[in-house]
Amino acid sequence: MEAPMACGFGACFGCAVPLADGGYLRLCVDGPVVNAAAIETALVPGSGH
Amino acid sequence: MDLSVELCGLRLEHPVLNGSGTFDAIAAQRAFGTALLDEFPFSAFVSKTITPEPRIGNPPPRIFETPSGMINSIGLPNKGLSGFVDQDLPLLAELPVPLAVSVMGTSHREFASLVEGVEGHAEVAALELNVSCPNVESGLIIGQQPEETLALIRALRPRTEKPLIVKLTPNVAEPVTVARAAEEGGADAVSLVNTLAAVAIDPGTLDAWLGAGSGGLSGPAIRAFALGQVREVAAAVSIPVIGMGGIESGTHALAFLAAGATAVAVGTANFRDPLAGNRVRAELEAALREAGADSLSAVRGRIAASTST
Repeated sequence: MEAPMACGFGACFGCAVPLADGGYLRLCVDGPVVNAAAIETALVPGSGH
Repeated sequence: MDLSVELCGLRLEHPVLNGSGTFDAIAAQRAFGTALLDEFPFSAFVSKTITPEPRIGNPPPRIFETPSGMINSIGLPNKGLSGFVDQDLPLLAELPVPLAVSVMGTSHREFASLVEGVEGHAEVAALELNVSCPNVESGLIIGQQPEETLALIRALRPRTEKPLIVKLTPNVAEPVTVARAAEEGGADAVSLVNTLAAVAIDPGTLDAWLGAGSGGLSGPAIRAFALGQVREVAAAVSIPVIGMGGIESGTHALAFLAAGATAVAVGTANFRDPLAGNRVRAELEAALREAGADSLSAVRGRIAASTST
């Protein structure tokens, strides 16, 4: 996945990706490859859902 | 050269701090190792803003890049007071510099609970009050109203002997009136500027780009504006001013000191270079020499009194 990112090391919380069971992961430290089933795709910007 | 400063009773080795939320000392150690502690970039560390209850933050996207800056709408994700005290405070206590904890509440009661929650912890050297939020009782943003600011600081002042630093919002017509209210209420210092209210539009959909609709502008784009507000406020209050807004170099830091700031903070620049604070400090010393000054006090406030707005 991709997300706008200010710092790239987990400090800015800019690259948040919504989780299906609530909350967010930070793509820079928890990605860039993520478990698709864990993501709330309806809330991902530009996902088309 | 001796760059030490006294800020609200704290003796700091040099005047370069971090802006709240722009440097995560725990994440930085995880990413770059404990060597970071040997050359810690700031003379005091200001935490991310803590709220009474945990917050997950705003829906994405949270960041938009602008010419010479960025807009963020992160939304203050944090572990809440008890999560912070239990999980983060023991780690932050290991830092080689004094710790200031940034707190935000939506009522006097919430702010009081935050102040009391850290009051008993000796490792917390100071509190920074993030007042860029609405008071749920009045619906008004505390830091935009001198009366609200005065009432809040008066309510909190008796609850702690730790220094209270009020983080001023720039989104006001007259920052001076709010700064004076903070001083009158018993604040030990003010820090400014917080981010400027800003919006980005997605050119394809013409909707707001940011998930939360709007955000705050930071970075070099706001430096000249921030310098103007710092100069105005520093001339109007007798408590110390911590100046920030787009500082990326020692020359920038020196400008804020000349405008009357006692200390400065590096913010957005930390995202690109986590060691920016060290560079700013080294460059500040060189910039002072170049300006023919042999101490910080020789330049502080130089432009504040001699010019008009």
